[in-house]
Amino acid sequence: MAHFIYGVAQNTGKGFFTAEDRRAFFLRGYLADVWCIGNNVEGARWLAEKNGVEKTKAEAQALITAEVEAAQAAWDAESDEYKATHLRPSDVTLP
Amino acid sequence: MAGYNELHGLKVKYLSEDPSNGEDGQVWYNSTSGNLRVQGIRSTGWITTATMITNRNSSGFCGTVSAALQFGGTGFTAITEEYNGIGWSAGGDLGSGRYGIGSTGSQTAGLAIGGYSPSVGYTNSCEKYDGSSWTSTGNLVVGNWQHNGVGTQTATIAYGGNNPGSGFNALSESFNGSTWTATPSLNTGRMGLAGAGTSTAALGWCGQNPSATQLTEAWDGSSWTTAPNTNEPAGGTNTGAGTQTAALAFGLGSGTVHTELYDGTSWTNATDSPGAIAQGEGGSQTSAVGTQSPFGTQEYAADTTTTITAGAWASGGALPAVNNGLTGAGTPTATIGMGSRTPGQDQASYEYDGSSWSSGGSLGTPMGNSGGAGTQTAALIFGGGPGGASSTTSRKYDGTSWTATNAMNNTTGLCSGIGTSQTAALVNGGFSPSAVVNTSEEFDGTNWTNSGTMNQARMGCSGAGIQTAGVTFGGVDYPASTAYANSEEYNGSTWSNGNTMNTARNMYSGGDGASETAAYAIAGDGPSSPDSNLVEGYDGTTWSTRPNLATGRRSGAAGSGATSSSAIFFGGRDGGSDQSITEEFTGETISNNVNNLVVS
Repeated sequence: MAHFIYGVAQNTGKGFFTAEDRRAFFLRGYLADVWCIGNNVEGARWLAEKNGVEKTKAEAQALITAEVEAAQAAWDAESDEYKATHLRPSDVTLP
Repeated sequence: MAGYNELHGLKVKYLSEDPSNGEDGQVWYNSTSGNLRVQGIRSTGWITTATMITNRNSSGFCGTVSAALQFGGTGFTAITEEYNGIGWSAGGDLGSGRYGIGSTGSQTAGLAIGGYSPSVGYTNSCEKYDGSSWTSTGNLVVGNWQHNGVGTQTATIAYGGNNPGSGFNALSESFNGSTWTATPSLNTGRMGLAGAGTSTAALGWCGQNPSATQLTEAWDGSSWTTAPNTNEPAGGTNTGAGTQTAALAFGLGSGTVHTELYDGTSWTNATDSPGAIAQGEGGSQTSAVGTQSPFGTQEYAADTTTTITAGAWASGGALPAVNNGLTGAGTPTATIGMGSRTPGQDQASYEYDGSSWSSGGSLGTPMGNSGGAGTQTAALIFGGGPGGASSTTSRKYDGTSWTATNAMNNTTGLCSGIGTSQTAALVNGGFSPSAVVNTSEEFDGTNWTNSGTMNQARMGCSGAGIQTAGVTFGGVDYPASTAYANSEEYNGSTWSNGNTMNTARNMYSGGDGASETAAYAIAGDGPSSPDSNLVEGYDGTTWSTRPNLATGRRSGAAGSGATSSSAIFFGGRDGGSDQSITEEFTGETISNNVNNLVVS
């Protein structure tokens, strides 16, 4: 059984995920509204209740990578002064 | 004929103190306190607490829920971490990094047994931990990994495992604190098995050969005998706690979340853990702790008279606009966010009531990457400027409008702001157009006055506490090639070195805490943790991990009034996207379920 399920859901603010949710299943948010969710009953229910769209790991990774590459391109185009005070956006790999 | 109890009910016991082993629903009169008392329903289950500092699996693990030790693991790391029931802090490194380590003992008397790394192969070397450092001790007879150890640092049995010579081996060896001796073998060789007990009364279960098994064997000090199978199989990622006749097995099954109890005769299923577990320990069948990357730390407690509710971050109301490079002040339920690096937001301030954000007064001048202090209705913002500039600008808020104060003496931006009062604030560190600075200044409500210099010049450090007892931490050099983990404490006039955070990073405005002994370092950006979701806590002596944010980001802001029970973090930047996200932290609570009966 896979440890995680992946999905896209927009963070709607207060109540989107609760402390109880965090205690019941693993939850990590990424770029492009991608969420990595612990694969148990509570995690799957949370994604469904948030009208999330389940993705395969490859699909979720592709969404994140596209955003990271855009951010890296933007950083590359910045001034040397900006680069001296800001780290280049790093690649993100889903667990 | 009905008996007395059926006719008149049970008598209420008259006791001078609460019973240590009361039954659920039992009522008694406590003559000492003069209260009618009731034993609530005991709780059993798993909670998720802080994450490891360094995510890994196949590590050694020993100790208890409130004093655990984890060492080595994937990546052939030598890293050791100590757990205090709240979070993980750094311990002394193993002399030899490896994974698949056998382990036993306690946090202050641990034992690392064998393991594997490319540099040492399937090693027979063992090391002892004394609470701060590892030293070599007697070698195993046969080099081995993915075996299990139970007992103490001076009375151990290690069994099972794998090496090229034996394959899935049935080897069993005992240790007397200095020397290992071969003992009779398991009936079935296998690797990745788990166990519990002592060196003379042990239990070993599961493990793979070649697939995951349910096999259980018991050791009586002279031989291994077959015992009932577990209900679920497990391969290399299960673990356990307890004794030979009262064992707890966890991390079983295909999802490595299955938990079982053994009573010396049979296995019964217990509550699954919320996340997978690869390694752990506990000391008893009713109290255990385990970890697996990236799930963090999970604690099991059974039949307890107290209920622990783990700390966690939850989503809060979204900022009205995306923001990065803002700063904050106030408490988690009365917060102010001010300034920004985000275009169009650099004169904005926003107020949070614990549920939603609303617009506050305009700063009247563009500010970003500033420091902040005070409260929601008496806030202070200083340093920074539009587009990440540095300045001597300082402005104060009365809950409605912002006005200029006298300027600071030193130009700075990406600085730390400390203080819960608008009339007793501190600015330290930061970036002055061409260099990082180590200056600090105090504000008394009217004027800024130079104070002691920090030991480490840096920008992007953040802080917590008050003007006379503050702590600053993290930050980066210029250019931003070196990230700092060290902290410094301020006593109202001078800076002294504090302890070091576990993860070096640019904190931006991610420091929160009304006291230097209850400080949070939230999120940030560093070489090993870009757009971090890491949270650490400082108790005035040691930095240890706390539950992570759900969404990692840099350049967000925290308040200034966090306590051990609550904190807040909002805004920031994830990759190339500015964020409006708010997260609220609720700290761990422990409630006693023995209570007074009252008339409502």
